[in-house]
Amino acid sequence: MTETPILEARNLSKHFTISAGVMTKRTHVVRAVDGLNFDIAKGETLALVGESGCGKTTTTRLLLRLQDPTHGSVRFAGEDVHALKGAALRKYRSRVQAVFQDPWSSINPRVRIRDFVAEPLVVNENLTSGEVDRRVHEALDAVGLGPAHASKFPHEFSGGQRQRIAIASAMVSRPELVVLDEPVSGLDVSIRSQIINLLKDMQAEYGVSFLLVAHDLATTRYLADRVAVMYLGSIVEMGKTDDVFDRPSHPYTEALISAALPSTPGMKRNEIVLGGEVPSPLSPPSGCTFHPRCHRIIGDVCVSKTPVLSPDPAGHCVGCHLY
Amino acid sequence: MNTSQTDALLDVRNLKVEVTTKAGSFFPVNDHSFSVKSGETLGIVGESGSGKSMTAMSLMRLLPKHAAKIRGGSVKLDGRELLTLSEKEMRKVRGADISMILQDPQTSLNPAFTVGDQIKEALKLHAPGGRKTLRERTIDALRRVKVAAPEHRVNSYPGEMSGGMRQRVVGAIAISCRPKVIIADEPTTSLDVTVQAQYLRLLKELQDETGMAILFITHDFGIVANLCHRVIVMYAGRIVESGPVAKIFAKPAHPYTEALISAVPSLHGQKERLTTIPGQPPAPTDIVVGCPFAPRCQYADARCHSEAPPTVAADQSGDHTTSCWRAVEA
Ligand SMILES: Nc1ncnc2c1ncn2[C@@H]1O[C@H](COP(=O)(O)OP(=O)(O)O)[C@@H](O)[C@H]1O
Ligand SMILES: Nc1ncnc2c1ncn2[C@@H]1O[C@H](COP(=O)(O)OP(=O)(O)O)[C@@H](O)[C@H]1O
Ligand code: SF4
Ligand SMILES: [Mg+2]
Ligand SMILES: [Mg+2]
Repeated sequence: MTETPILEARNLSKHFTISAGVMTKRTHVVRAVDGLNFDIAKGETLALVGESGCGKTTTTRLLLRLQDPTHGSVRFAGEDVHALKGAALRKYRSRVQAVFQDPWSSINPRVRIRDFVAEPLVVNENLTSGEVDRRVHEALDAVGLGPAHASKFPHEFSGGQRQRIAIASAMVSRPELVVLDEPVSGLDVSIRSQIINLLKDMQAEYGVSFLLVAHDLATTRYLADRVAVMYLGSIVEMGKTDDVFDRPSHPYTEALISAALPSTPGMKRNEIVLGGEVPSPLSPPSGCTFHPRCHRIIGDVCVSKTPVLSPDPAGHCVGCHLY
Repeated sequence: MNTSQTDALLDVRNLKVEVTTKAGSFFPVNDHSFSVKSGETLGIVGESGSGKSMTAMSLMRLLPKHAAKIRGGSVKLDGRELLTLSEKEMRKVRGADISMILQDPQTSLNPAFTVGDQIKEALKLHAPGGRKTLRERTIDALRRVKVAAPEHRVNSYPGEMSGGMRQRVVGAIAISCRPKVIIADEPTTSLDVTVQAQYLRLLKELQDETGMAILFITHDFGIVANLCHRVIVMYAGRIVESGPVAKIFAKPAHPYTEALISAVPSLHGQKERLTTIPGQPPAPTDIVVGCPFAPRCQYADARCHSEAPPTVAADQSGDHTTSCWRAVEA
């Protein structure tokens, strides 16, 4: 890739300090995200996958500047996101948008669709009300909803329509990056494919980049160009989606993908069953944090030495001493 | 057609549930007939609002008191009619013969009590003493659902457990009295794939061990494909197709089933555009004339819009049925 990426995360870390209990002043540190390095190219979809608690949401919150990193940086179009102020920050907020699983849970039910969709345009102070209306209608049209919907209220829409409206709002400012956090998990199967197709169309039309978080691996595989597999706050493998799904290198990726249910009956599945549960991020295991559950553990090196993410012969980046 | 299976453990015939709201009344369960044998897993699929939970609740006789009423039909467990039992008799059936696992373990466990206390409660209600102490039997129940260190975990509160572990505790309560039928209402929807796989494996093992029948409610065709023997597909309060899982996937007889199966992206790297089903299901109080799927069906003709299709055999075997005019013509 010669073009500069739209977004670069370097050594990105977020550690939370929490109290060790009511009777003590001692504290614990949760390494929610620890030393992430990844890029997102223009027009590309990068997916974060991994079990709950591995740090996906924290990563998206850092990118959206809802939180500040403990270490490291996020650069967007070459600029340090967490150093932005004033007008530059407002500009960033319109260039980077998000669609969540349930975008309406926090929305005032008396807000009209027009005002909800127009929200990201408000920072663009020099738009006339007529221009805002035109942009809102365009955005609604792009997600398959007529202009008549603009004056309605949220409760007048079904789940699938609401997600379309959320996408219209996320796209109205023509952002360069949209964070999609579980964009279809709340929807029925018959509606899900409509939204997945819509997201693909939006990307083809506007060249927007997506950072996708979805726990359904089939949806992830369908939408993502590349995937980053996370375990306990770190990326353990990253590569082209088809490569990672068809030839996972890291033992954790192998196990994770083998757990997904094939979509037709009678298909053989060699599930790799991991022992135990994901350890607490309060006291992550030494060395490779996956070693207590690893079915391919080599020996002492896994227990004592932290593997670094580096390219393997298959062209993925893998953090495992086997490669 | 073979309507009343003699070897059925749970046999449901022409079940009808009416819901009354300010906006009008409707039948979220409209003339359902199905059955399940010991050791068998029946999948119930359909989109939200299609009546899956209402069906489950009516089998348990736990419908919301004022809003919903059973208006007809029969539910037989081992030949015994459940719909005419008194509430007192039904209380003995629940948990002991037929029990339910809900979608959200948060709401089915009380955060103020230890999981051990909650399992004990279920055991006390149904299972007669035996020689082991209640505490021992509680630990056994946790061990059966593969909770590690059950001797310690009995003293844990739900909030101290992961989502997957809480769901297993709910499972432990449901199976503690070795019921003949378990109804699982979307129990794995919010779980990680790895935890889901673990949970489904556990259900299968328990079924092999006890021969219980499972009614598994889900909207995930992956689960149907991997866990269920037979499946019924619901749409707008009706069963539109039912049959063995392999047949339903290989040759879906109802256009809705066909569309649903092809709308799911494959895990194996499909690149073509996904098939979609235009529009959305009717609102419950909409008056449906003809086939409820007609407005979204790619094959619908004039008759589909005006006359409700009968339920007919989809092939010669008698175990695959559908409610679609196309099957009538064939
Ligand atoms: N505000 C917070 N304070 C303390 N711990 C947090 C906070 N937010 C997240 N965490 C912890 O950080 C880890 C990563 O969480 P999260 O980013 O939500 O993961 P995911 O989205 O992959 O499920 C978890 O262990 C979580 O409990
Ligand atoms: N307590 C209730 N009062 C009134 N209507 C209800 C109640 N619970 C469910 N319904 C309605 O009954 C229909 C079927 O619901 P349900 O069985 O919960 O569907 P599913 O489980 O398939 O999503 C829906 O139209 C729903 O709105
Ligand atoms: S580094 Fe060792 S323990 Fe970690 S995944 Fe690789 S083989 Fe397994
Ligand atoms: Mg999250
Ligand atoms: Mg339900």
